[in-house]
Amino acid sequence: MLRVRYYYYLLYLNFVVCIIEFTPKLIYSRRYTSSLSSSLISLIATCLLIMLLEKHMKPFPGQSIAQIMNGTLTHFFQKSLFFCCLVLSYGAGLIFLISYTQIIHRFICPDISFGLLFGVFLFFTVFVSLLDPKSTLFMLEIIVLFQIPVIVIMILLFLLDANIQVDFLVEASSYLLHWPSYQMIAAGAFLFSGYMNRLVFNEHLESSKPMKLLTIVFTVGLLLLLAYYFIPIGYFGLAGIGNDNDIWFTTTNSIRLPHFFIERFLVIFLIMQLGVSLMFVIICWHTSLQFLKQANLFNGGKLKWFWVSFLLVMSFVLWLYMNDSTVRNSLSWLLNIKLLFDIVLVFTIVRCARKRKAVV
Amino acid sequence: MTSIGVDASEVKNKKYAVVIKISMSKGDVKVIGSDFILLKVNCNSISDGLDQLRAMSDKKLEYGHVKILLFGEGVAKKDIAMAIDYFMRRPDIQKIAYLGIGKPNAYQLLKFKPKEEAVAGSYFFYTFQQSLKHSPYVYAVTLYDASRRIMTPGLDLTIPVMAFQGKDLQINQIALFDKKQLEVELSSEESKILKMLTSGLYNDTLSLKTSNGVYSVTTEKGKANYKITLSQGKPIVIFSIKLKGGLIERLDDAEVITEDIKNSLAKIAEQQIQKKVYELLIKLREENLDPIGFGLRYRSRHFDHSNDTESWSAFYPELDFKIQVKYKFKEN
Amino acid sequence: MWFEGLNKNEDFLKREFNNRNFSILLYYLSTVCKEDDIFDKLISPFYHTELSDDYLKYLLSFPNGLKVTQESEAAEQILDGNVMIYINGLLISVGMKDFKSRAIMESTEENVLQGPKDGLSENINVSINLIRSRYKRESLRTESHSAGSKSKIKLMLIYDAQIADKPALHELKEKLSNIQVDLIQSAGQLQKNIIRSTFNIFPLFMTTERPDRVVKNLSEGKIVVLIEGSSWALIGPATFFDFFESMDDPVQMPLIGQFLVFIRYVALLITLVLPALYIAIISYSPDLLKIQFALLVAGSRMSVPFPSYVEIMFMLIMTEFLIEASIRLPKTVSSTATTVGGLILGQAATEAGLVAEVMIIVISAVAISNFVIPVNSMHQAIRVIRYPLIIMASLLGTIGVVIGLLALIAYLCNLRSLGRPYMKLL
Repeated sequence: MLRVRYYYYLLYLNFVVCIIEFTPKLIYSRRYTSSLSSSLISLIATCLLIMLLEKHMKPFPGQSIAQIMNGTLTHFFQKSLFFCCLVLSYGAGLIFLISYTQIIHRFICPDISFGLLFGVFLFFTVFVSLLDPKSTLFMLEIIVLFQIPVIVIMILLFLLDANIQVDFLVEASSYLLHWPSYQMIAAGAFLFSGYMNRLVFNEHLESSKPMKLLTIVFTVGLLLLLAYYFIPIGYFGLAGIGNDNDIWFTTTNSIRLPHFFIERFLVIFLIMQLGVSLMFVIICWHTSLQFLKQANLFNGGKLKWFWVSFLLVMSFVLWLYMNDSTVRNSLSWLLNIKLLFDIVLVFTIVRCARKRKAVV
Repeated sequence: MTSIGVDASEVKNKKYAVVIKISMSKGDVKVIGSDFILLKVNCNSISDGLDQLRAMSDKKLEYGHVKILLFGEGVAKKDIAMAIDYFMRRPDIQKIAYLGIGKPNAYQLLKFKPKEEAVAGSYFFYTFQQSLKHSPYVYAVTLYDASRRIMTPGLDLTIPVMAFQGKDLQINQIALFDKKQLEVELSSEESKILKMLTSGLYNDTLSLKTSNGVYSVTTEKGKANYKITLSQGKPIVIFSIKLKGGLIERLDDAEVITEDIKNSLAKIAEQQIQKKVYELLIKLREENLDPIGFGLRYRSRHFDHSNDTESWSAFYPELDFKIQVKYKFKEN
Repeated sequence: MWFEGLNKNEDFLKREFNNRNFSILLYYLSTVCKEDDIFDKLISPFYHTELSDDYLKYLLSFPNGLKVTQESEAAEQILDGNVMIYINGLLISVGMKDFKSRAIMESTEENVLQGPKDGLSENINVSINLIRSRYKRESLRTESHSAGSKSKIKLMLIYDAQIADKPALHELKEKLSNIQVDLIQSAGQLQKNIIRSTFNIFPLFMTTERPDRVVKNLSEGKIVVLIEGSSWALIGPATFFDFFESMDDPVQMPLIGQFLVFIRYVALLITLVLPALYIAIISYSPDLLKIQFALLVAGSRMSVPFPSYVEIMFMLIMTEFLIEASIRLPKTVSSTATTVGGLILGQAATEAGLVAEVMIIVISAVAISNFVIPVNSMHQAIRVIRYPLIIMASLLGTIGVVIGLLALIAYLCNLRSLGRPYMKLL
């Protein structure tokens, strides 16, 4: 059994990766209306969901999701739930991998062919997602701990930058008083949806103390949310951030890194982000594979390699059919479904816990 | 490649003349980098120009090191926004590159070769990098800063102007833009005041005449703050400027400095600065330019944004200013 | 006639003694037994004893005196340095062992500034003596095992029964009993046979010749294996981070100790990444560096006719040669060799324009920082793992380096040493 801290890493990873590469365009598209308020609401909402989930996961220490659901749900229903989870997390991973490869291709190495880059990433992530869950978590910890200092440096550079106009920040926060919208809440909730990994890693993670978890998630989440919302605004102004797809990379390209042998902060940021992003894809696909295992479809040598090669081929084929706009469309589609689906799952767990209690 | 210059083309039916400065490195470690090549091409778009230039050099052009973007006066007077937008969206150009207006054109300025320079173009770069503390006249504007000033209503673009004075380079003027075009070039005296109002003042000298003689006073530090309030339905900007004086130099048989003289000097300095600031602000208002960002400030202090841009553009021509200057000498 | 197998040996002795009342036969190997002791303790009491029963009791009073019934067992005992005494139709074995080994020597491979200087001995008993003198707890267990199908080499398992990790102990015992090799002579060899994976590069067990390190690990609940005839001990389960601790660290003030450990990780990073990063920067992304530096590097590479990976491979392999050569050469010559190799070759190569000056700096930094890693087996591993990174870098540039490092981390995270995670922070 591993400590709860890995659970925080999972939450953090999900947040950092999504806010930088998945949602900024979406969130900033409603910056004049609902985005700020919706993000805050979604933080509170996810905190409630986390609380609910953690409280009801307590009776099942060290049990896999299938074990939890046994006795409450029929096998067919279980399997279809797993299948949905699998498709969702696989899809999130794939969309993400494609869009991140585009970014790397654009910013670091336009000389290397896109296909080669994607192929290397794909092979790497698929094979690493085959590791056992504990190894994945160890790797996650190392990568997250390497990334945090870079983020701290970024926030410090932001705070110390004389070129930041405070008026921009004040102006942005003056749009707080708007009604939130579902689309925005879904986007915000997606940032915090790392808690669903509890279902996959519950076998290996200790159960948490919900109140402590909640306070940490809320405060850190709020701070990060504010930091990530306001840093690009500080650099480009509220009006200036609208039409850039990779706003975060343009932002870090605007940060000067004084007193260091590498001058461009962008490079360091991108490299760290590469680690975190690939880790995110690994976790996503690891999750899908775990769900396959839970559905009893991943045992034995041959079946395993069948699924792996299926994953590889499938990803490659899907990549060929996806361009910029399909990636973005499927993303917003994914966001909207994911929130609903997460809520359904949480309440399923609640039901399982109730039922277990009744039996005991 | 260390600098890019964009001029208006002299050739008809071509829009731009793009100039690039390539720093050369030699085998000998001691004399690296200061040699350069200038390449110039006439073209219709900047990307087209850069492509043509690529064909003119045997080396792979590396945009990651571009530190300076110079615009000729001709381009600046037409439309600078498109060019800035282009550079902004190019992923390989650093957004912390400095912008400058070249007078008479960018090509002439890029040709400038100072006696000593670590890397070709680093002269400009260091001048700008240190301009905040070293130059009393200008503050450097980076690419992203320019871009946000173009995009944001109520905050206008300024770019320092570089020109030759004899054989040497002078950077002591600020050009004001109305989003796209160059509207006014401030005189160096006005630039100084604008710099004080925006980024603050470091080490500047005023010459003051009192009844006891003429003195030259060094101001060590100056900072300006402002507030926008509404008085009787009309917005008014209240500036409070705080300056700290240091060394005083006596000129033309002026009397020995005493506390009294110091006080009167401070008074005169306050009056002088107040007058200059007021004149500059009025000038800006008249031109309907807003480099300080009054409009932005006005908007940021409201929660109701339904028509604030419009209301501000109605307000601005009638804006009134109130300036409070505090000049204090350092104890010594 | 007994001991047919041994009879043909020059040093196998069979001596018969008679006194008035009874007679004895002694069988032993003269080369591994102390002849003086045999005379003092066996022969001269024999002539002073009247009755054979008394002499038998006397023999059994030796701490290692015991009756042997099987001939094969007796032969093994003789090989192990015992004297077989045939008396009254009984075989009695008495230990008169005299296997030669060095006296307790300074440890030579793991040097420390302060702290104890003695190293483990080739003789297991001496080593255990050294360990026991430092670790006086009742719960310390020593268990003897053997490995090797042809020569049965004695292994000694040492652990603290109270704190040792039970599943790990179980696993280690099982693995030891599964070893099927003819001969095991050293700790490293034993480790290889326990791990049994061709592609594994990283040491999953700590090897050390320092008794203080052994004791430190014992007190942390680890299991130590001593091998007869080798002055190196094998310690498991180990983690990746154990290999970056020197026995100097606990001696120093805490801050200094932490600083030293930190320095070693920096060295690890440099030796691992720098060559690959050099290639990535030169060939793919020169915009990473400050412009002066970029121009400097480009300038110094002006005369180099090869792509950067050829250049760096060439120099790296030269340094590998240098290191190998200076290990094998006699001490008196090796310093000359390094001077010639390192200084003159480096100087001449840059002068001739074959490699860039900056590259020489890179290579020396890499070579030096490699030696900062305190445990030899780890620094060999790091030495090898550099090359895949270089290949990745020359194919994919900076991205290749990052992917390579990530893959390395994934690989390390997936390793287990005796069921314990190998790379787990905290």
